[in-house]
Formats: sequence, structure tokens, C-alpha cells
Amino acid sequence: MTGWLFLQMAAAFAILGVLLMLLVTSPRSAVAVSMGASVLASLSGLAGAGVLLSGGAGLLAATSWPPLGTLLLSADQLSSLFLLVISFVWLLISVFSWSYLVRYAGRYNLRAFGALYNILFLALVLTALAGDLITFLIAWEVMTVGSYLLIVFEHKSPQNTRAGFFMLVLSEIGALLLIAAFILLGNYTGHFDYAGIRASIGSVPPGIKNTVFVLALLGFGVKTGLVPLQGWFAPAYAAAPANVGAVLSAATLTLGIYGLARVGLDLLGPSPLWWGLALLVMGALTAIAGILYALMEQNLKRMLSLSSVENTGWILAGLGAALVYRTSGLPVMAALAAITALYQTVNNAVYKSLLFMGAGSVEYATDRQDMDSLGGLSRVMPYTTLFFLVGSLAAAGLPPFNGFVSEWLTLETLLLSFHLTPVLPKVIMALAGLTLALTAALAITCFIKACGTAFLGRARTPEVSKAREVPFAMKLGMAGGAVASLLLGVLPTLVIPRLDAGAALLSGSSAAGQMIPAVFNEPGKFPTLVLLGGTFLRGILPAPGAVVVPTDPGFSSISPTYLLFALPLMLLLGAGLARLLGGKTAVTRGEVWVGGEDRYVPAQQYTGTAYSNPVLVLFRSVYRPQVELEKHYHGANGFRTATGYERQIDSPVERYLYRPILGVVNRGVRLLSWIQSGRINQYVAYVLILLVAVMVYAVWQ
Amino acid sequence: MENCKIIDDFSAAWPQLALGGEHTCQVPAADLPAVATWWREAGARLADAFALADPAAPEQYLVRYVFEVPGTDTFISLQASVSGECPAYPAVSLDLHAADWFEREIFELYGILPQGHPALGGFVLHNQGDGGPFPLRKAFSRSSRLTAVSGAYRSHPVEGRGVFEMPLGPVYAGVSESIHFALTSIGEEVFWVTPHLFFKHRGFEKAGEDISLEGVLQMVRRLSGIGAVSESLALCQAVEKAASLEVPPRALYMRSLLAELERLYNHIGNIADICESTSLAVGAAQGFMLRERLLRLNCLLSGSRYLMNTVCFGGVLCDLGPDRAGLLRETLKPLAHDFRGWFRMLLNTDSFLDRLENIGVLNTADATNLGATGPVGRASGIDRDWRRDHAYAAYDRMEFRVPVENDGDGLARLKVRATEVEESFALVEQLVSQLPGGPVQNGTRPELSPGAAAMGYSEGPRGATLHWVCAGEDNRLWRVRLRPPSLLNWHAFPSATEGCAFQDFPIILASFGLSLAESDR
Amino acid sequence: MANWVFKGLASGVVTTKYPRQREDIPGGWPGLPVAAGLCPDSCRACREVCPTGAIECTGGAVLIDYNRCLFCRQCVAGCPAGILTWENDFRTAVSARQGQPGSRFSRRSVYIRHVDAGACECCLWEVGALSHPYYDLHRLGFFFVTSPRHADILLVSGPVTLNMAGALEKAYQAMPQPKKVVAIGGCTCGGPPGGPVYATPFRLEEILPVDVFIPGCPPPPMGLLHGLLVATGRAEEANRTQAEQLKAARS
Repeated sequence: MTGWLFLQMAAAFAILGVLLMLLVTSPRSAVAVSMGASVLASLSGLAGAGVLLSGGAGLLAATSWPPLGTLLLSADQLSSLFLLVISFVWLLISVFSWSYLVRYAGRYNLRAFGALYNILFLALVLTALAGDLITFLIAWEVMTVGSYLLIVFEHKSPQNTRAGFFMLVLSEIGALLLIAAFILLGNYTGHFDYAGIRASIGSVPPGIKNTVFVLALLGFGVKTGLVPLQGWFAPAYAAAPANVGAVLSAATLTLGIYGLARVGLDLLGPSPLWWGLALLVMGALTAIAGILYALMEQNLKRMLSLSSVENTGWILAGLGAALVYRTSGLPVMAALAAITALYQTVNNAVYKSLLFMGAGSVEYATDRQDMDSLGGLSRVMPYTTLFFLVGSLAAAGLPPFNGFVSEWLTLETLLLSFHLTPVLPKVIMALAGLTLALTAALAITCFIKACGTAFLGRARTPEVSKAREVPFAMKLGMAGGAVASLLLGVLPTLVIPRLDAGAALLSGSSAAGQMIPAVFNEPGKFPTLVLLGGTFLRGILPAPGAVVVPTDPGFSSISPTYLLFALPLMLLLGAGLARLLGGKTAVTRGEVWVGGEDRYVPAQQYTGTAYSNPVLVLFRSVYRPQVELEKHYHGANGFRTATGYERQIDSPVERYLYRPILGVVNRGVRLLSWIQSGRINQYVAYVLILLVAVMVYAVWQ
Repeated sequence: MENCKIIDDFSAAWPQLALGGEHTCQVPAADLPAVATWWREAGARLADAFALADPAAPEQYLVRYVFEVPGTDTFISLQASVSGECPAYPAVSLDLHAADWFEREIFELYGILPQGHPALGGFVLHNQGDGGPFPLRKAFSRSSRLTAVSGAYRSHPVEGRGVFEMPLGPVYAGVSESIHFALTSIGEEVFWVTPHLFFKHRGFEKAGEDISLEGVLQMVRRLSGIGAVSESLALCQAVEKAASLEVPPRALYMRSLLAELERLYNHIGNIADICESTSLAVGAAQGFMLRERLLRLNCLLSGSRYLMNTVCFGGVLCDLGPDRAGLLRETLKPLAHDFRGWFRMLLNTDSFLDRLENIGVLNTADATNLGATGPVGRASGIDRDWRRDHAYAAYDRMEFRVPVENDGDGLARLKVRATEVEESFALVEQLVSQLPGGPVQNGTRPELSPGAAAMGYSEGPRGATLHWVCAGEDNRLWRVRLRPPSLLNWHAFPSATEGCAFQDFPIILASFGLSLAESDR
Repeated sequence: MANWVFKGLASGVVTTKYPRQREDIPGGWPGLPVAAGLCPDSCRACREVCPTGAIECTGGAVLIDYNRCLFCRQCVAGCPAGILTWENDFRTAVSARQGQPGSRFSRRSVYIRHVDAGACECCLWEVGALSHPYYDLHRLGFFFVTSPRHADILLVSGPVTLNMAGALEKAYQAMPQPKKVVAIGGCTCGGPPGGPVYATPFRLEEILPVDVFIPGCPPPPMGLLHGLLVATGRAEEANRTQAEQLKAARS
């Protein structure tokens, strides 16, 4: 079967899922049917994307719709890759939602959810498969509106609807910017289809190309969480149900990256140096801003959303490095950077969906997301704890999971900037690398805080201690994500060749061959690596080697594959030695030692806020928190009865960008509000004035 | 007492109250807060507040508030009588916050309710309810025992998102006294520290009733073993005054000498503790070496490293012959030199001073309100030293300076202690060279007539100690009240730690240099 | 900037060589009373003058219960026959579990948790002095720890107060096996000064199994070192029990 056939099946399943919502009656059957259809659709999508990725790329379908011209669906290596990722996470999330959505039964309309969910999948697939700018835009808009409606699913709370509205406003502003960019591009190249644009991009003046780039960057930046456009992330992710959060961070964010890669690196052709430098700078700033504010969040979903912003920063830095190397005439390094960015995107999608599913499990079991009121969940929800831990390790960039490989590759790519000759890009790359390294450290702090506060220790509120482990479907979804994180982390030499073709489109060259030294096939060429055990899995692993290098074997190398064997081996060795030398030990169980005190209440545990307070103190000049300390006294002098503490942190983006803009808009709108006074006479007057003006115009002509 | 202006003002303001024997003024219970406020506004400082069973009628109780009168050498006591099934009187601490902890003690040990006090219960007796039994009442015999019920846990509530309470103790750190701290914090920043004392409550005030005077003396020496001289001085002076026992002049000089030796090793030990708390390991080691040399000197002079068996009723037990005087001089001269060198190095260590400057500030207003005493009080601008203001032993014949600093931070407390060390070296030299001849003991046992009461006091290394005794039958004590200096300073401790960081907390604790053994009794 | 390194090096080594060598340190310990022979039956002067009743006179032998002794020297001062003398020794430790086989208790590397159950601070300062340059217990393999979970020995000072009894028991429960309890100071070994009252109703032996008693008021650092070495089986006791005193007097 051809890939296109699989994709058509996927679309069919999705449409079937939507239509069947008209027929089902009970909420549970709505969930079962819609999620079942989604699972089948995503499986088909997975199959189709897989086939296309392994060589079936090309034009898929074309229709003609007079008002908009020819609409094309085509797939190349880049779009098939993104389609593969999206289908995979969709599969996981749909399996997860099978049980998760049941908590909404009777409160909200699950048939609407099921329909919107499948429509969203269709929109995602179409966005990836779009072969021309118009199709892209249509699918993009459907995706935006669909995700908006899913975000405000719990519409009974005004906070949620406000958050969703904020998302819609910023997304529409982004869409407007995209429309402007596409119109410019289309008019100046004379084509709207990708192939035509690529062919005639040379005739576009540089000023127009720059404008298109900036507009596209900002337009896609809204979806990916580029600072300063990320303001809608935290409130919207907190408002949305956890599976929608997973969709937002794993699917729509990924497509935002896809859009930026497609337009900025592929369609716009040869680029000036400053595009890459701008991406680097903005990526680094996005990363550090994202993680700094993620550290201050106590709500799990909000924290994860800001962590997504941080990941966007890493990806954009990779894309920026690709542009810089490409412009500087180092195509292999550009390919390395592009592969790194794509790898980071794939990893982000997988572990972010896993983390959001984990947060959703916590929400399902305890009905709350506030870390400071959770605790002790590892005792009652061991699987969720394990999966969340895996996701956290991956997001923090720790081996043997996938985050480690892509973050290592990004930092290596930036370290290799000494190959460049001019000073400015070298300095910017170095500074970006510095910032990203700091970000990695802060990310570890952030996830230790999340795992430790929410899962370890004891429950901080009595209701939380009554939590129970989540149903099988939710565990299965999370398990899928965890296994994928592990596999992506320990088999990089199998992943990189699949990313190579897509990266070639962005960089103009292939790098997989240089990134994976063929130690298995040609051991003679890599004596050092062979010395270090590089031929260990020869004949077992279907790859040229098991070591990853940033195109230069002498510079540095890692092998997470070997780590997979070395880590358990060392663990067994250590445990064995301890058993051998230590002999038998008696185990006693006793009370927690709290200094001999009589009482030990959960309020005596560290809270998440307290854990991250030292970071606040360190970066006080960045956060500028507003603190209110109230002291209450009894009587005239001395008996202090209570103290009240309040702390508020506003992000500078909100303080210096959103609020002033909103202020201006409000003032302007108030100035013009007299137009809509509500008085009939005024409206009749408008009609009259218009009539008179038309008559005068007609007479003039 | 000399007729002074303040007494005349008092008689004018309160004509119905008369100042009787022992400067005690009988006040109706309902008027206690008003009279106490009058004295506070006249500049007097609350020195102690306690209750006792009325010797004339054991079912009735007397409540005594003792004030230090400014500008004079005397103390005024306000005494009120309370009785009934549930004795009560209006709380003085609502106007005079320094009385806070005294009133809590009175409530838990006697069952006398200070009406209006907002924080009663769970202070001294951790696992008793508020309904008694009250151990210091005469009806509660020496062999009666308490049964434990679950007690109230009092902690200062801080409301705010993410605020938590970090519990510390009673068993904590490496080698330290038992106390529980509840630090309410947002993580690094501490909002308020609630110390829970009386884990080491040994019930000395109960144990001191109805045993021989010798037994009481042995007990009071161990109230705080490192303050053995100053505590036993206060007790002996109280009993000697009550029994009108003369102390020979040589004994007075020996008493001052022993007190100064005690001050030396305490202050040097405290400064070394401060070094240890700031992790200045070599500085701490040097200080502890000096302390050990002083302890060995104590042992050679008196037979006890902590000068335990020295002060007794009517004099002292050890004498300073010419060879011992020579040993004293030979040991102290190089020690003083070493001390100066060491302290100079400390003042030149910026990283050490950084941990003390502006950390743990106890401002003058708080120190006055909460009644801080000793080096802690003097570092916060309170110029009081009972060696000078209420001279006892041989201090009226000595010349010495009383250092006062105004900053109230850890550095100020360090400097005050160091200056007092220098003054002690000079005082020891003065005392040894001016030591008069004669016996070191009166030789006769004190004879107390029933009902005889007197107050004794001394300025120890940690501040002013006050003991009050009231004699019963058979030359035994009806009531022995022990008010140690650290109790006052613990009351002031939370104000100094407000807003500190976690890592500053042990340093502030060391810079206060407080004792729990004497506070908990 | 002060040069602490130089200062520390210039101070040299002042640490005692005990137990390898027994040095006489003037003022290092107060000493203890010993009976140097049998005394005439009728004289009870020492028993009368002792403030805590620590002396027993049986059949001419003067037996001193060091657990209750306050080391105040009144007995020696008041002995008319000169039988009671003051000995310049610091070894007062007595092992309570005589002749019992110890489990595999660490001999070389021992971790101590000190709990203050109501002591006046002398015992605390003497225990603290063990970490200071003159005595330095680290060279013998002893270390103070913060958590009883890491501790081998529980060092208790102070008469067990009512408010601390619970904490003391919890500390003992929190220690892993094998563990030992060492009681130091006159209050812990013999009871509070002034006798038991409502706040000090029990003795340590009633709550925890005590392995070694180190009497003293306070026990000097050398005495503590000796006692710790006795607890870990690295030093011999000095025959301070009353039974041993009787045997020595009779012989």
C-alpha cells in the first residue's frame, strides 16, 4: 500500500469519528468511539508517514477550487517526518484519553470533544501535508480554532474562557502576520505552491525576503512560544484538559516549528547571516526566560507549558545555527545543526506529551495541579510516578533518555563555531551556548522540584492521600511515551539517518554519514573508537555504528547505546559488591526522624515554592517580585499573633509589552467608542450620511 | 532606702499604696497592670515576676513583680494577693510585654490565670492540659507525678502560599542543648522563629523546697554549670541577707575573683563558638585552646574545672595562697597576650565579619521592651551591668568599664564580649593585688527564721541573675525563685532572627550565647 | 586578611597522646576520692558529710558510689583518719553489661549521637571539648553525627526530664543495630541534684539499656575518652564498682 492510501484511511477514520458523534448517546460511548477512531486514524497516519519517509515522497493530490486556486497536498521528507511524530503522539494521547476523559462525563459535552478532537487531527495532518501556502493557511486556521475550542472545553469557569480568549487573540494576530507574509511571498514569486516558490525565490528583492522572514518568525512564534509571544501559554495550558495540553505542546507546537523550518529555511532559499543570528539570540532568550519562569510556577501544567517554551528555545537555537553555518558556506555543519534541531523537536514532542499525560494522571487522581498541596503520590501511584520521572529525566536532559542526546548535540554544534571565520557569529554562538547550558541546569532544578514536591514525601493535604493509581489506558499511553523516550535516547544511530533527509532540505547537505562513524563496517578508520569499545554491538545493531559524533570524531563522541548496557552492569556490580562485602544486614522499619519531636505534620515538608526560592533570590533583579509582609499584633506592644505573606511575580513581557499595548488599545477603543453609542438616532444618522455620500458620489460620476 | 524623687512621685501618684519592708508594695490585684505601667513609664525595668504560696495561708497565693528602679541601687517589688478556686488577676504583659513569659510560667506551675494573656498553655509542661495539676502548689507533693496528655503545640502562624515550617530539634546539630525551633520560612528566608523551651525543665524550684540549704546550694550550682559561680553567688547572697550572715572581706574579694575567672572562660568560649558557627575552623580551634587553658587553671585553683565547689554560705571554699596567686598571674599573662593576638586576627578576617555584621539585629526598642540583659542587652544599647549598678561582693571597690554598643548585630555582641574579657583581665589583676587578709569563710551556718525573705543577684557572663528566697520551717526554704538571665534573652531572640536566612540562624544563635539549662531550670 | 593557616601551624600539636601514652595534665581532670584502706568501724564522718549519700561504710570498708558522687571533696576534707584520699585519676567509667558478649560492634570507627536530656552545660562543654585540639577524638575514630540513623553510640547527659524522655526514646529507636548507650555525668548516672521531682521522675536505666556509665560532675574529657574506649572494648575499666572496691579493701 502506498503512503497516500494510508493517509486517506487516516482521514477517513477521523471523519468517521466526527460523524459518529452525531449518533452516540452516552458520554462513555462518545469517548470510546471518538478515541477509538483517533487511535485507528493515528495508526494509519503512522503507517503512511513511515512509508513516505522511507522513499515514497512526492505530490499526493491536487484539487482546484476557483476562489483560491489550486490546492495541493504533497509530502517530502520534512513533512513526512513531522507527520510521523504527530501521529505517534496522537496515538499515545488518544489511548490516554480513553480513560482520562471519563472524568468529564456528565459535566461537559464529550461528544463535542470527540468531534473537535478528530477535526483537530485532520487539521494537523493537512497542515503537514499542505503543498501550497493556501492549503497551509486554511489547515492552520482550522487547527487554531479547533485547539481554542478544546482549550475552553471546561467553559464553566470564567478563568478558562479568558485564558482561551487570550490564546485566540494572540493566535489570530499570528495568523494575520502569516497571511501578510504569505501574500508578500506569493505576489513576489508569482506562485503559492512550494515547488513554484522554490523555483522563483531568486527574483524576490532582499527587503521583501527579510520582511517575510520576520513576519513568519513572529507568526509561527506565537504557536511555538517564542518570547515575547508566549504570554498565552501558561494560562491556556492550565485551563485546558491535560490531554489537550499534551496536544498543544506536542502537536501544534511541533507544527509551529515545522512552519518556521519550511518557510524560513526551505522556501526562502539563501539567507543573509543575520537571520540565523537573530534566531540564535531569540532562541537563547526564549530558553532562559521559559525555564526561569517555569521554576516559579507551582501549578504542574503551567510549569510544563513554560518548559515547552524553554524547549522551543533550544530548537530555534539549532535552526539558527543551521542558518548561520549554511550562509557561511559550511553545509555539513548546517546539516548537523538541522538534524540536531529536528531531533530536539521529536524528543520534545515525545517527552512533553508524556509529562502532560503524567500531569493529567495526577489531575485525574487528585483533582488538583498545585504542587504545594500534593505530595506522597509515589506511594499510591507508583506507575505514574515512574513515568513522570522518566519524562522529567528526559526533559532535564539526563541520560539515558532522549533529551540528553539532542541537548548534547545542540551544545556541541554551538561549540563547533570555531570553524567560522568572522568574529560576530562566533561570539553570538558562544553566548547562546552559555545561556543554553545555564538553562539545562535550571531545567534540572525545575524538574527535581516538580517530582520531589508532587510525588515524594507525604501528602500535604488530606484528600491527596486518598488518591489511587490511574486506569490501564492512561498507564498504557504514558508507558508508550516512556518507552519511546528511552529508545530515542539509546538508539540515536538509528534515529539520525531518518532525520537526515529532512535536514538535507533545510541545509542543503547530508550529515548522517559524518555523524555516525561506520565503526562496525570500517573499524580500521577509527582506531580510537575501537579502542574504547566501539565495535561492541557489531552485527546486532542495524546501523553503521553505535557512536554519535558532531561530524568530527576527534572532537567528542558519545554512545548512549553502550550506556544502556553499562548502567545496569555497574548497578549490578555495585549491588553485588555491597552484598559480598557487606554481608547480611538487618532491616528495621521505624518512624521518620524529626529531631525527636512528638508531632510531625505534612506542613513541615519543603514546599515547591520554598525549593525554588533560592533561585528567586539569586535572580531577584530579573524577577522583581512584589512582596507584602503583614504583621499582626495582639495588644499594644509585643504579642505577635500572625504574619501574612504575599508574593507576586510578573513577567517583564507582561509588564513592558502586553500591558502597555493593551493600555494603548483600550485608550484608542475608548476614544472611538462614541461610534457605538447604542442610540438609534445616531445609527439612523449613519445610514443617512452614507446615503447622502453615495448620492453625491453618483452625481459626481 | 534613700529618699529619692521617684519614690516621692510614686507616693504622690498612688497615695493608697505604701512601700513596706524589703521594698515591697502591697497592690490590689486589679491594680497591678496600672501600677506596673506607672513604673515602666518612670523608667523602671521589669526584673522578674513570679508567684508563691502565701506562707501565712497556703491556699492563697501571692504574685510578685520585681522592678529595677532607675538611678538607684534598689529593686521595688509589687505584691498582689490572689485566692479562690481559680485564682486570677489581670495580665500585666498586655501593657508590659517583658512580663509575657513570666506570666505563662505562673499559669502553668501555679494555675493562677493572668486574665487576657493570649498565649497560655504548652510552655513549661509540654504534655499537660490547661486544667492542672499545678506542680508548684503546696498540695502537689514532692513525690507526686504528672501523667501525660497530649499537649498544645504553639507556633506562630504565617499565612501565605508556599510557606512551610521547618522543625529543628529538640535533638539537632552535633553537640548542643535540647530545644525545639519552629522556623516558618518561604525557603531560605525565615519569617519567624518560635523557640520551644523547657525540654530541660528539671523542676528545680520545686526540688529546692524542703531540702537542706546545702542541698539547695548543690542544686543551684548545677542550674547552669558554666555559671556555677554567678548562680551560687546570687543564692548565697539571698540566704545571707535573709539570715543576716556576715561575709568576711577576703571572701568578698575571692567571690569577685572567681566570678571574673568564670566570665573569662565563658566569654572566650562563646567567641570560639561564634567562630565555629561561621566555620572559621582554625579561629575556633585557637579559641577553644584558650578556653581549655582557663579550665585547667580553674581546676588547679579550686579543684573543679568549672569552679563548682567554690562559693558557699558565708564565704568561699577555696583560698588563694601566694603560690596559687603566682600560678594565676603566670597563666593569665601569656593567655591575655594570646587572646589579644587572636581577637585582632578575628577582626581582620573579612569573611568572618561579613557573617556577623548586620546579621541578627536586635534593635534598642525591642531589647528594652523584651528585657534583654547581659552582653546581648549591652550590644543593643542598654547600658546596665549589675556589678556597677547594684554592686555586690567587692565590685564597689573596683574600677572597670562597661562596654555598650548600639548596633545590636552579631558583631556588636562579639565586641562587647571581647571588651569585657579585657576588663576581666584587668579586674583579676586588681583583685589579686588588693586581696585583704583574713578568713575566707564566716564559719557559721546560716539560720533562717520562718518567713524571712530576701533577694540576691549577680551579673553573670550571660547577664543578670536574680534569686529570691523565702524561708520556711526547720531552716528550709518555703520558696526559692531562680530567675536566670538567658530566659530574658531567649524572649528577645525571635526578634533578632526575623527575616534572616537559614544559614544565618546558627550564627545568630551562637552570637547570643544563651543557656538552656538555666532558662529551663 | 588574617593568615590563619600560619597561625594554626605555628601553634604546633597540643593533642594528648592518650591512650598510647598516659601524660599528667595539671588541671586536666579533678581526680576522684578513693579509700586507701580500712577505717575504724565507728567513724561515719564521710557518710554524714556527703551531700548525696554516695558513701557506704560496711565492715570497715569505705565504698563510694561514684555514680552519685559530686566530686566536691567534702569527704576527703572531713575524714579524720586520712583513709579517704584524693587520687589523680580520670578513669571513672564502669561497664554495666559485665561479661556479656558484644555483637559485632565497631571498634575502630564509631559514630556518636549526643542527646542532652536536661544536663547543666558542663557535661556539654566537656563533650564538646573532645572535638577540640587538646583531646581530638577524631584521631581515635570517633565522630559526632547529627542523625541517630548514622549513630552507633547514644551518649546521654542529664537527668532524663519528663519533656525529653520521649525524644530520647525516639532517638534510641532511630538508631540501627548494633548500638550502645553511654550515660555520662552525675545526673544521668546517679539522679538529679536535689532528688527526683515531677520533672525528673525516671532514671535513664528505667528507659534505656545502659552499657557504660561515666560518672563525674562533669566527667573530664579524658574521662570521657576512657569511657568511650571502654564502650568499644579498647580500654580496661579501673575497678570502680562497689563490689570491686570491697574486694580491693579486703585484700
